[in-house]
Amino acid sequence: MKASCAGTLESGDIRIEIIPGGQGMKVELHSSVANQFGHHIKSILEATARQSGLDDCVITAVDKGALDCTIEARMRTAALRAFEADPDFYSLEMIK
Amino acid sequence: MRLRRTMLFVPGNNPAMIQDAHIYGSDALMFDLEDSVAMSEKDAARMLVYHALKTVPFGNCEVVVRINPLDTPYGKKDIEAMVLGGVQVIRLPKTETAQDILDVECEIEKVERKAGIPVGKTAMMAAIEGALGVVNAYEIARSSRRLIAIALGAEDYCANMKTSRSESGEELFLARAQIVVAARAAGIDAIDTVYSDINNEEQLIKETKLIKQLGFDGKSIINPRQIDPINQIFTPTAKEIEKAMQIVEALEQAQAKGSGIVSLNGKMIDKPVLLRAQRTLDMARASMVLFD
Amino acid sequence: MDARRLLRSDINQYKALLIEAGLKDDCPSEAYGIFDEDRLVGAGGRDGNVLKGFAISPSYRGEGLLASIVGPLLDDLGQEALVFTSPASMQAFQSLGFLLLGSTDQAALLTSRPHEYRRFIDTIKAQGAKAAVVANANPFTKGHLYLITQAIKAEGRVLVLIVQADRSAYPFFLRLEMARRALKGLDAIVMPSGPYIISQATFPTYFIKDDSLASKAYADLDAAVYSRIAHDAGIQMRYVGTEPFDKLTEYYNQALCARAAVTVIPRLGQISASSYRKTQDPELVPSVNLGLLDLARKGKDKAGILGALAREALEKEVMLTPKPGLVDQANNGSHTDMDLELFMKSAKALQGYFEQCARMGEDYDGTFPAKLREAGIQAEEVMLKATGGVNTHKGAIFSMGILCYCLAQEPFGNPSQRIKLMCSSLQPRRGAVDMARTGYSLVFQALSLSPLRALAFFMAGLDDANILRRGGEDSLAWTQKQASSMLHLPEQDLKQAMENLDQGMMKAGLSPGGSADMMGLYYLLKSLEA
Repeated sequence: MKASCAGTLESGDIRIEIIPGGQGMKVELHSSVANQFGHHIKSILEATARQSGLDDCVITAVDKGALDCTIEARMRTAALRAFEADPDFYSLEMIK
Repeated sequence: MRLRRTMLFVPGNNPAMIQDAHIYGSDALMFDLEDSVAMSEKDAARMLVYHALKTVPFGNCEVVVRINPLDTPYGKKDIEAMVLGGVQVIRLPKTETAQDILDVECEIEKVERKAGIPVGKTAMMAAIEGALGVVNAYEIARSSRRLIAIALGAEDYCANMKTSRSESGEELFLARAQIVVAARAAGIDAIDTVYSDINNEEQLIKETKLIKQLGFDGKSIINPRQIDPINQIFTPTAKEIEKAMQIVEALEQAQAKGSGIVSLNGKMIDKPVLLRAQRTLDMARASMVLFD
Repeated sequence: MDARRLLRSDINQYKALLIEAGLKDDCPSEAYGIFDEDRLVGAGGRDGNVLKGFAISPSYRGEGLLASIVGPLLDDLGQEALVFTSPASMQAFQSLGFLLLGSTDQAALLTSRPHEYRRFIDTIKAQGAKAAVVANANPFTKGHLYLITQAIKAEGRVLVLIVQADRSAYPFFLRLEMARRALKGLDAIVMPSGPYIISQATFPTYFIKDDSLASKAYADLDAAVYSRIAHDAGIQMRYVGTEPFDKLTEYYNQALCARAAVTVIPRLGQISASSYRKTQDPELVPSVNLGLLDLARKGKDKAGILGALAREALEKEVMLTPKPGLVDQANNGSHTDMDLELFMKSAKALQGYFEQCARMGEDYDGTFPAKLREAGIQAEEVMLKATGGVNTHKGAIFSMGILCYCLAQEPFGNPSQRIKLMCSSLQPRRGAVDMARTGYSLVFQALSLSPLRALAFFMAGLDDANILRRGGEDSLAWTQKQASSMLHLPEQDLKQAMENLDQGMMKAGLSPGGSADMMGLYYLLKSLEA
């Protein structure tokens, strides 16, 4: 597993970095809507990260007003890049 | 009938554009995984469009995804993700032969079978972007029952033809004519290429009138500002609708009388005129300017 | 509008944009720009991990262009980025998730990874020190020792941060080790200063002692960043020495005093790092560091020094006499095609390779890298060319290469675990590979032994592939038995026994080349203990 990132800082997107190491998963979020939606965004990030097989890492996210589906997509992309793996859309279908 | 007057091109790695694309009123959206996405972002765009297909309501827009060709490392994965995501239409770029279509169809079918999706549910569209594709246009257009339209991609075509695009568009004349004929012969739609100078509405209108006159069903566009001018040109005017309604009424009266001859204001009406009137009314209904 | 990496042909447009924004027109080494048609309307770049040179055409401000420039720069960098910018742009970066570390009325410093900053603070906090000294220690002098001792007297435990930027005469790893050794036994915690204070990003002119206005602005900003770190980490007092010579350092001290609690201790006599650099007078530095100062003369940076030490280690190994069956000062052992001079030539030719291994070792990630393998293959060619086709150091190329690679991360630490982890993916094989797979544990065990005894220890414990090849299992067992019987002999008897064994092995045509390779590693590790 290696450090990775996905997404951009453009409006409507979210930029996610994964830094391997540490004990357990730590999610750090920077968002202009953190007060209202911070908890919600973090919960999507965390759930998606766990589904993607991440455990010991720091996840930092800079949210620029992304929809839930964008948050999920960027998180998955970052995780796949961290594992240098190809996505399996069939098993994604099972989750959904 | 399904209108395809305007097909809005949306870069596949841009979440803001994807989520807002359907609000501008184009008939179709084309999410692009190909040329607008850098190699290093192919995985990200595919994942993003997949999730958007799953969750974003795109209203009445027909949703098309342009995939990468099968001879790239991305094509197969694109098909898998998009079919599973439930895309309506897969658009294959740079189509040169009927075999290109059959290869993609084969991949689509594999995914549909594996995932329990009714075989044939995913429709296809072929973009013809080179001389070979233009020569093979009819074979391409009739190659699969999934095909709903063929489209011209002029930038690559012009490069391939060793020429460049002009305002008058002579360089595209043969390609446009060939593609629209092939589409009609195969009973599918024909979509014209993009016009990329978004600030020149006058030329956009000129070009759109030209391709409508040639018989095209619509045009690909790169900016929401181009939607209204094009939709207007393809939408029947009040006068055209009135005329068409009179013709169709005359037909209904003749049928009620059991007569095979339809006439309006003392003039006999030919079958082509009738068909055109029928089509005008269909267009008017689909464009929401005529309600029964 | 399109965003893309700037090319050489865009430089003129970029410079015009920088000037328009009131900045100097020095372009960073890497930059991204936003184009409206063919016109560059916004750009920014980076040098190393420092983002800079941001300029956006006035009519395009407020459109979020900054995000399209910063994002790709961060993607390319893949690690923490620092931004040095004007206070006016501070907020724009904060809205992109950057954390403000400090600002003055002229400049601001932000980091792209707030959690790395917090981790840095947590590490400092965990040391439980209430006072701090920040020193470049270039080199560590008796003046530093005095200042820190005074601070400890007054405050108890003191945190000593050694400037991490490798921009000084003495490389960072030596400066850090000098501080550690000089302060051993005192209540001082020696740590790298981290990326935020007196770094290339925050205070680039510190290293060239430029006292211009711009440089003072850096000093002010650095003081602001320090005061934030001190506040966050619970450091209540900073100790500095009076600065009679250098104007910039003096200004920096004043800037610190303006922003944080500082105690200024009068300098001890005329002792300073710069006077040591001029005179090399050993009286100016703690005597425990003389060995490290010798190491510093061997190369200009860490990899250069390790490369030189590796070569010296091979030279010492061949000079060690008596060595049974091996080339030494007395004879050529069981070899007909090589002698001492050839080994010296070969060691010299391989110095560059060892340096290269140490340089690559900065990227250590626990895997056995292909580039190390490739460098080894090339090194064999270099060796064969230098020796006229004789295989003098093939084993050393393998084992010394691995050791240099793994030492780069922490030259004064114990690299055994790193080696073990990295070599665990190698296919097990008796001899050199298996030794690597154990992390050379035998060598680390032997470090407390004299050279001759270490050699006996290796011969007794190693499945030496050279002996196996020439004499088979029986010869190996015999050699091991002979060697183990001498392990406890007094030094003088050990020498005699070695000479006897030398005769025996020459008669049998045996040569413990694998043990010789381990001796090379032994000497390199020994020299780092200096």
